[in-house]
Amino acid sequence: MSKEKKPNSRRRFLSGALTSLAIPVVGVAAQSNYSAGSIAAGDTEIQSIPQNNSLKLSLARADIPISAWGTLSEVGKVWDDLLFNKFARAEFFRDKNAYLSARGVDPKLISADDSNIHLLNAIIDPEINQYAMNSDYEGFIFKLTNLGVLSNRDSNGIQKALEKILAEDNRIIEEFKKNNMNMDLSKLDLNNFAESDEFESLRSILLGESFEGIQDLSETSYSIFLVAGIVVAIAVFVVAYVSVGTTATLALMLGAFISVAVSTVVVASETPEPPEVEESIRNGTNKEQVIKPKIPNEIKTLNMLLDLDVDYKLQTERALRLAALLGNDHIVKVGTMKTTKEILSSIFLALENVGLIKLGDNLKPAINAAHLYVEKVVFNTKTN
Amino acid sequence: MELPAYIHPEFLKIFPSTMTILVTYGCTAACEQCCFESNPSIKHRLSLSQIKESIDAAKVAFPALKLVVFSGGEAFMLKDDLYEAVRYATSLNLKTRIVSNGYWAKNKERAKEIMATLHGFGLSELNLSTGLDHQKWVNESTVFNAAEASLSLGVSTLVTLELDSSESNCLENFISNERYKPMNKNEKFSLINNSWMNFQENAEERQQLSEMSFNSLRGGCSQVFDNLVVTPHNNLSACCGLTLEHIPEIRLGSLNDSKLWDLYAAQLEDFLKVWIHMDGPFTIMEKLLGKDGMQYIGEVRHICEACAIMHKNPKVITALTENYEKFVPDVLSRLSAKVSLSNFERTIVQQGLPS
Repeated sequence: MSKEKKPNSRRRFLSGALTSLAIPVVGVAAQSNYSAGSIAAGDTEIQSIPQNNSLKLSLARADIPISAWGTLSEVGKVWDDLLFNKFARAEFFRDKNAYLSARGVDPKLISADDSNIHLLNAIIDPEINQYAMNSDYEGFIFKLTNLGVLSNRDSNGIQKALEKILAEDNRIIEEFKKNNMNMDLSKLDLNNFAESDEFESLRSILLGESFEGIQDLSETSYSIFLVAGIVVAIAVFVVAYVSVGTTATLALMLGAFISVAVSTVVVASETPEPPEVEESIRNGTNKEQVIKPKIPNEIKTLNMLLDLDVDYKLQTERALRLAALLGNDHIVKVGTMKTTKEILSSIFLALENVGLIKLGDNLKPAINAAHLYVEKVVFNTKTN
Repeated sequence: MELPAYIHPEFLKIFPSTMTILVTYGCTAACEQCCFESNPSIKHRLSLSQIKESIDAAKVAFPALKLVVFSGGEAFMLKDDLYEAVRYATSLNLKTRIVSNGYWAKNKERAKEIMATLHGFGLSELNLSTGLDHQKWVNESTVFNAAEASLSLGVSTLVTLELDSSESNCLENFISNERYKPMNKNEKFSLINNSWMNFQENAEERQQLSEMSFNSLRGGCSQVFDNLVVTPHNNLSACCGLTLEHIPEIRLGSLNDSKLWDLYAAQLEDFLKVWIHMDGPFTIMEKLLGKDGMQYIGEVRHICEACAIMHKNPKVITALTENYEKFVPDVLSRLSAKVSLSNFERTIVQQGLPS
């Protein structure tokens, strides 16, 4: 075996990381065969594979019955048949156990708790397909919940997580104060807010010169959407804070995000387009071509908050991806809009609860205004 | 070229989609916390013929391959050979990306010339790494020069900024720079604030991941199986993660002695690779050790750090080797389901919904 460069004194991060956790670690001597190739000199022959790779968990040598291998080889073919062959699908739904038994596949393997398997089961489900064909969002979600693909979706987790972050870190409150943002709006009539000095102050801070671009909106929609747009912008501001996690950049991030918000208002006439195909090459991700709903940037920003509640996020993504897979733009749009509204509600409730804003009786109207903004301006929905 | 019977027959229509060629570990910078300890004294590099051979082999063996990433070390140290490698990959109908610290853009005009050459050769994307450590060697202005030159030609440009320390404000400086504003309006531009993993005990602490970022660390590793990684010593690696050179088990073998396909296919017979791909180190440790597994994660900032702990911790190693067999049917069948779903999506995109 080739001779390798001995580990130098710098290469201690692993043992350091492990000992700091008070976990027994492999001694340095035991690791020394594995010194990094990156710092080896050009003429050093690098060990291309570890000498004794105890972590190569051989499937060939695994103590697994031959019959189990047969099942595993068949699982993918079963899924393919169910996806692409309507006769196989019909046979499957006539008698699932008989169908799987004939293919030698353990039913447990196609009902495992796994996001891909949930999606596959939903794609082939006749009722789900019917709801999608009818653009029946409520029925679609109800059936998914009934099937166990979704549990009762609840965005409370986001609100609680947000409250925790904001309550534990008062820097954001300081940042608001620094920007002269008097957020006590409880005494204001929201509908008249657009005419108030407070609004003017907020407007200049949040929108600056970009404000001019949105005055083309009709007089009636102008004030309500502007107010709603601003509260949404504040929500986006909070998202920026939570995402970046540093006050130093708050004001700057605010500028960037608000410009997104404003440009969304200005170009709000564009209805979200049908799901697009995204080539996920940026991170070398594994999805090759993935169908994803095309949604406005502003909403994408807000949706970053979904990471605060992984379960809610997974469920939301699952429902929207499924709708996209079934080719139903309407369900994608309604689902995205509904999720966005839920996130906005969570943000406002959290902000109010930690005292960052004081909307009081105006809280509900503000949330409604924000929802309306999302519906009418961001998604350009014509219905009330 | 056959896959094991338990691997979905359409697997190769989905994976791997990316080849990353670490052309050298040499670098014009010598960042304190560089995962590869890259520095100017490292001269070893892949030859142009080795690079082309790897691209050829990958193109022939892997129909899903779409993108070739040239990284390092500092990829631009290869100069003309890098340009030729980009041209060559493009000629094979592959997209290309270069990851760089941007040192070559000190002079604006020269930066434009270099990017014009690369653009002419088909470069799809430029990724620029900067931040507290990087800026000790390549200043912010140079990074702006590189990004502007790239964007002026319509090349997708990503700037990756290290998370700051409590004392530093590289992110704030960057986005408050006058040159950032127009750049940020360009849809081809992206900025990410990346976690920065310390590789030395005396390292200055960086800001912690926010809770939402930490949550996003869970889940399978998108690198394993999807990324063919060629290291400067012409080894094939299962990933190009930060701890790649600290986890020998990630090395798949030498391309001097073995064929690319053989080395890639061999990892499909290693259950740990399949499991990492499907569930990632966090979930593996949780499944093996229950809630106790999470104590080993500690203050991990990066999925690669968790992966290193998983490969090094004796308790985890013992649990893995003694118990992995019972997880095999579940994990392999879920991999099949994943490939089926991806293949269905791919088919819809190309042919529309089946009747």
